[in-house]
Amino acid sequence: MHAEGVPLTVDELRARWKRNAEAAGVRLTDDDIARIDERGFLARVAAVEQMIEATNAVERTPDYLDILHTGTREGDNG
Amino acid sequence: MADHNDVSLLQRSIRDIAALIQAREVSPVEVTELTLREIERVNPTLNAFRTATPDRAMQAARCAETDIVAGTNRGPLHGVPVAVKDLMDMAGETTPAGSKVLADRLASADSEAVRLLDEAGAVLVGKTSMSELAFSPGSNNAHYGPVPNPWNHAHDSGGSSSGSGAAVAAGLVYGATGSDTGGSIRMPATLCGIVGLKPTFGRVSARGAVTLSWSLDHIGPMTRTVTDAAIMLEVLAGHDAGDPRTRRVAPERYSERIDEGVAGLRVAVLSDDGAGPIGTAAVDEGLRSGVSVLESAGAVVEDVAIPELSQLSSLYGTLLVIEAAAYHERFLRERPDDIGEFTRDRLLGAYAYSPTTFVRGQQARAELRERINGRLRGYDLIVTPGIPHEAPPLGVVGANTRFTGPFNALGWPAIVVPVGLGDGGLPVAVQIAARPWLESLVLRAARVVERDGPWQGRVPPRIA
Repeated sequence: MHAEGVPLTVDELRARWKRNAEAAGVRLTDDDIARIDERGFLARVAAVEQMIEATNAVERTPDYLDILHTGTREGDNG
Repeated sequence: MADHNDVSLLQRSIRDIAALIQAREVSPVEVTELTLREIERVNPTLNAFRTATPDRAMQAARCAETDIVAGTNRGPLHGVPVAVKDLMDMAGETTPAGSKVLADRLASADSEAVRLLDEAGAVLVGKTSMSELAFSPGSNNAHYGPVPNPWNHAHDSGGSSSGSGAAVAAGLVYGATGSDTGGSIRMPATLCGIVGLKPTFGRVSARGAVTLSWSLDHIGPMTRTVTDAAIMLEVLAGHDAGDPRTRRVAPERYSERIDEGVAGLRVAVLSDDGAGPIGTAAVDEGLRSGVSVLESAGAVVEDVAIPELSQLSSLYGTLLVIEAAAYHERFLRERPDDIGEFTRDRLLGAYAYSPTTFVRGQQARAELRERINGRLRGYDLIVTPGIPHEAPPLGVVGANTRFTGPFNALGWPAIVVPVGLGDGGLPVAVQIAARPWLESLVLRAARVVERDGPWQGRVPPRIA
């Protein structure tokens, strides 16, 4: 996602993917990318990032394990 | 006395076989021998077990027999043969978790689930086959092979607790453990026509189980009856200081409340998850018959649209793949060629995301949870299909986490119970979920569907 909320292009996503893998020391070849993206993987990545952006939850505490909502008594969440 | 060579004994429920064992009409040693013989006979066809553990099993069976003759009763699993998914450590055995990279992981101690089952007197007869690293909705496995569906061997058992689902359905064990990160208990349970329960996040310890995703993994039971799932959960549930995700919640006797029914409970039936038609004709019919049974039993039933479920379904998949890549990154770096292509490709997908996606995804997860809570305010239960179709052909990774995955992201308890046979004579199921810690409600509702619904204890054809 660009700063102004414009989604990355497929080429930009592909470049980011290669950079991230390389930085992690993980082998990711062009053949790997072509095979994994054969059924629209990068489009789904873009869609998920857009959906996250659209939930507009940037002020929320990232609630990894539902600690804020899930009590230890029945009905706490209801 | 029961005939100890009668394999129909193996299709009894845990509750029934436990009663026979306690009445000394069936010997734990004899039923364990019968179980081990049946596994040896059937496994070349079904591939449900990665390995049997006959020495441990016979030792436990002899111990149970001595205890029971002496008048000691350790509960309804005492002397009952069960299996564990092959990602749970069992002392002295390897825990490959369906992979080559962990093939030499030799367990020095039991996982907490295994320890609890052992303490309850269960006879652990083996470790069940699974998808590589528990990272597939199908039984596909590049190293150990797939698991055919007991109802139709040309079709898949689903994943990732494939062997547990097939073994329980085929009557090779009375119950088994599974793990569920996006549906890995509920998908094979649905496709194999058995009951699968994913408890509340933090209800059951995952200590000693190979991780796929710290924030989405759940351990739970897979059985042929709802009461049996309750019995196994009573053994498995509880706080464990060795797993900080578990909570100090008072244990319950789920099996004692299981016939309390659903009269007066308010049930939301998923009418729209934001992703189109709900499923195949058989899935739709199964959902309607399950809901009809609940309504006849006195539940107040209403259709509810929850379009956020499809968003949460996409989101949980992203969180899962990033956590899984974090856990297995060492193998991606050092042994990429020892990971099957299907699994490696899924793990590599994690690196396509922005560095902040994981945290922002967790924020969105909290936001979507709140919106879904709002949609379900005033309802006690939500009912959906288990998965939207019957089992795909063997070797085709077609199972779908659309309805199961969101409940991993929410951490809510969810159970699947079979409601019919669709195309190819393959089972379909409904899923019943409730808010955290309300396993008692999902079990009660599932029991009503089991008792009054169309399934009526069907079992697959015996393997010749």
